[in-house]
Amino acid sequence: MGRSGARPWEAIGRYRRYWLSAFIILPACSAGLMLAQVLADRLPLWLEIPTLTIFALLFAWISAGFWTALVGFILLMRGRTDTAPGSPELRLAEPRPQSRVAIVMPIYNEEVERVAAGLQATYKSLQHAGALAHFEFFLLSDTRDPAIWLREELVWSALCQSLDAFGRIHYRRRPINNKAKSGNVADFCRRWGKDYEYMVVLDADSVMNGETLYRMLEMMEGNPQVGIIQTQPVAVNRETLYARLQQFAQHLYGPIFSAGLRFWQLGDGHYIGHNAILRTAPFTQYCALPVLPGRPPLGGPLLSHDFVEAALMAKSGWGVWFVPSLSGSYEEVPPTLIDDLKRDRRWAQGNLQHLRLLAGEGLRSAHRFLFINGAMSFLAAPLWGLFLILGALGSLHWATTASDGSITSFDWGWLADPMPFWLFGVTAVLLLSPKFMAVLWVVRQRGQKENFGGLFCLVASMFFESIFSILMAPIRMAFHSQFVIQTLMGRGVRWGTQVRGDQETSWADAFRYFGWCSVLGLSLAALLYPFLGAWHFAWLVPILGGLTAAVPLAAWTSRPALGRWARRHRLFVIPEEVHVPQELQTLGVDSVAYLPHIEGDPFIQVVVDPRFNAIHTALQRNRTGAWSRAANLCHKALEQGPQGLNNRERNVLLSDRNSMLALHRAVWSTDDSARLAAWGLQSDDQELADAQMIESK
Amino acid sequence: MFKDESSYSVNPAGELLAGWAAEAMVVANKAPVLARVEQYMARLSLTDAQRLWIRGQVVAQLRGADMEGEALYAQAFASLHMALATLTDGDELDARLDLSLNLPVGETHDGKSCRWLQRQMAPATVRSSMASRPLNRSWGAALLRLVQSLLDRRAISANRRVLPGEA
Repeated sequence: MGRSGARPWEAIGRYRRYWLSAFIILPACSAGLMLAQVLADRLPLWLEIPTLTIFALLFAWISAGFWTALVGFILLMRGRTDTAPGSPELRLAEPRPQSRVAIVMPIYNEEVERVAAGLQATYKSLQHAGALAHFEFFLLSDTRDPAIWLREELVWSALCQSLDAFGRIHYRRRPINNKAKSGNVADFCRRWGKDYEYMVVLDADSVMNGETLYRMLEMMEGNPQVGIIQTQPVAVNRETLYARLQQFAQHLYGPIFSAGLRFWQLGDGHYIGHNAILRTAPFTQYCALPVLPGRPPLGGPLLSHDFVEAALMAKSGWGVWFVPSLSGSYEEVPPTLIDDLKRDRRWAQGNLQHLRLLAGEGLRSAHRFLFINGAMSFLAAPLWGLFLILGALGSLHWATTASDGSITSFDWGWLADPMPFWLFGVTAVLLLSPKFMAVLWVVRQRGQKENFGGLFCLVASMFFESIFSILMAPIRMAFHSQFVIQTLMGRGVRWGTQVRGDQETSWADAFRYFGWCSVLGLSLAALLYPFLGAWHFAWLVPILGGLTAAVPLAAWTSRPALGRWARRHRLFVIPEEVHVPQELQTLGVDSVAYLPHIEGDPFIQVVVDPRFNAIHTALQRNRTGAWSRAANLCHKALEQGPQGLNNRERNVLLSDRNSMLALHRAVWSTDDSARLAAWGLQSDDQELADAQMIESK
Repeated sequence: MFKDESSYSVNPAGELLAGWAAEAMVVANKAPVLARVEQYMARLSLTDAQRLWIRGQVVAQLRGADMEGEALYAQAFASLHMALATLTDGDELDARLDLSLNLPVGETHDGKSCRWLQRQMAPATVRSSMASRPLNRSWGAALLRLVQSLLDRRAISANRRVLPGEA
């Protein structure tokens, strides 16, 4: 293979990142020096140095967000997103007739009807766009639960029937689930990757517009050096107050952050694991994930695969572009705080694992920065907690120690020094100004503020969302700190199913999960108030208030009724609720009402019902190696009924065509009314009696 | 081979008349078995003609059968499945599958609907390897590399590979 020079965007990207580094490092150092002036001669070195170090780190962390938002804001206000040379948007090519794209949807114990509705919406949108010829769908299941497997299989067949999509929508269940979602996608690449030049990875709750998918294909065709194009999926469809707050924040603030991120990243972008198109051949060749040496949680298989896959793609010379201007890409957010934190727990472990890859050979520096950035999203919490503790220790030390070293009574006169207030103000600006920038940008666009419920409602929503974020910050700090500590102490997480529906958090659950936060907040408030007095205590109210309110916040924000109330009052409205896109309109429950309704145990239905049995059995092979065991299990099933079999035994029977046929015939041929009842069949005497009763009526 | 009404050259009711008299005898003795067969057939979207024909086949097989209990049920269902298989000139499972997917029984995919459905579910596999490469480099080596790059960037910088499709 030959060698090539630098790509046109690389020099621009390097230059921009030097500036970003300077913007992050210099203000952080300056702020650190200013604080050092305040603390100098007032704190012992053992307290001063860690306080300053953590302050500078946290300041750098929040200023990175601020500069990204500011750049994005300027770009958007100028009315154009970044068009650096090499941007995939600049070179579109009509897809060749033989270009094939596999839309893969890895799922794990998801609600099958919702998955089918999302897939159907994307399929119909592609059909509407006239681009279906290039695309095929793969539903890749990792379930080991026979009930879910059977539902998925029957739903797949009904979906294909309804959409006339046999041969265009495929289904695969992986019986062995190594490496979770990334392993599932890798399994697809190994089996069918050669047949598809590109693949689009979707999450179970993803929906994509057909024209957007076609545009992504055009970009890939026009830019053969691009390996991944990532869209910015927007959060939609949720009704709980918590999720609506997240949706609103993502819609309002997301665009300026995305535009800024794109400005810094260019072709060294990120990949979030879904709603993106990937070039299959290089992905298969270069992006198999390494297994980290050592045991989980910090060793073993990587839990957050997407960032690493992007890094490996870029390492092998392919461009990874984030294109936020591609609309029509949707996802759903966790409905409640509990579900959000459960997801964060997995991400925390995955992002901390990335730190072990930092020394990896050949990675591009932008991706090393992304690894650090990802880890900092969780490490910032314990650092903040530590900073608060050091601050409290420093205050006590300072207040109780006179300049000559003698102990005095509490003296808070030092707080008259304006420097800490100035630093506090700068920090507040860094954190809150992106929100105002986002509102300004929305207001400047014609007709856009109406999509957020009008100017008054937009500003009110932003105000309430900011209050909510401030209250949430200490709760997140407490939990994220806990996650980091648990991971560092070797306690890992298991791969679990995500909650997709709008489920309320009961008060009992809220107390169980967040009771300790509320108790901590109340205890600290009771402990500190007498020492600090009203004025100084007021500074701690946002932190202690957030902690104390954890239980009611978790419970109330999980209420769909409150979310609907907010919507009625045009609070936290998002553009997709004002003008519902076609693909989201077809997501309703009614859209998949034709899917087979399986009452009770699907295993029984698939053994007994001749139609379901035919569909399932037709899809299985004869596994001669398992016949002796399967024969014993058939006998057991007939003797003890279906309840006598555990999931593993059911899976053995369900995987073998011969066993399913034999069991089906045996159940229908049984003469024993108790056995028949166990399989949900009426005895014939009962059947006849019923028939006679109907006739007599 | 099964034929529906349109395939008969004479009045089908007339042809079936003799069979019905025999069926009356069988039904009287084996009503529960036939009720089960009807229960089974009710779950398949058979046409009336198909249902009657299958029932006739089952009754014909049961005529004179000297069995009781499960053996009788087994005989009835074996007959039922044989009749279903006759619908497709092949396998009863193919027939049931056609009925489940609302396809014309035995008239599509050369009567091999099971194989066809398997291909629809999972296209032919074209294997390719996807093996991970270790990313382990010691922190010392990484730092050394960093120092080298700071001292003389050109000495360590490698040219990028030309990608397929790139000029």
